[in-house]
Amino acid sequence: MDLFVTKYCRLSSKGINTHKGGVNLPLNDMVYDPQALYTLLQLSYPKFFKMDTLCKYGILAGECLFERNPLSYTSSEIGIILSGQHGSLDTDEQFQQTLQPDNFFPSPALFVYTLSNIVMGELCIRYKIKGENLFTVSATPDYDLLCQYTTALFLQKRINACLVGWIDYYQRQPDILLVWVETTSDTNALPFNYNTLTSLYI
Amino acid sequence: MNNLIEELKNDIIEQLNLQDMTPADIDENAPLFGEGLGLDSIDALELIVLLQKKYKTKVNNADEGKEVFKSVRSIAEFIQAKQTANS
Repeated sequence: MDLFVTKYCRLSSKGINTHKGGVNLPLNDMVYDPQALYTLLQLSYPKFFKMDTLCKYGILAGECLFERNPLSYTSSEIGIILSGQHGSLDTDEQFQQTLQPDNFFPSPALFVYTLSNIVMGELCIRYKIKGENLFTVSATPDYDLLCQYTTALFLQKRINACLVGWIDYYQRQPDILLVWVETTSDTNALPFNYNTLTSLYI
Repeated sequence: MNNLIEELKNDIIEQLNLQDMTPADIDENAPLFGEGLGLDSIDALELIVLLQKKYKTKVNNADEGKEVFKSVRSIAEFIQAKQTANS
């Protein structure tokens, strides 16, 4: 089965690149400031400000990918397969700081983000994705696994489109690659395989 | 009471990350949940933490919480009543 990457977004400390080219950041260090990126991308999503940083970067990458265009699939035929290294560790550590014996005020708003796959849930809410989903944690991106698992879902006719990628954030370092996988291609589409994901991740 | 209400408005904006909102945008008599500010259940828990941490004031049960968290003014009245009782 031929699958294609029809859109992608790479967001890292080096900047933001998408299938439409680089996103011009007025300041070099803007990539470290999710709220500045929110303003730059002219988002209007109040829930954004309640999210932890991993989720904020996930939504920002999603916005670069989809550009507010409604997805042309029903919710249940869209899958989401993501992976990351640190999961929610950055938020876990912040939450831990609210648990000090001499200053014990656990933050509920932080607590709800202390799971690796919450970022996947936020993306599902934002883009109305209700199909198959998987979030794995690994030291480095395992693009073979992501490609094989995604392809299997397409072959089993469980999904007709899929948001796939690596989404990681820890200690101010965002490291994200999101790709949109479909069975149809356009002139700019790339084959969905290990080599493509590896080359887009660089 | 008015000073406490203003202080609470600032606390709520900061604690709940209500972006682009100023104290003047918050009606102290308007409902906090559902309509009005449209806060959710996690926000309610954050408000409980705020009262405990900054104002050393504890909401004792869910029924009391429903009354306390009706509006900014009702929170201010609750804090003031507790502080008066403890002084």
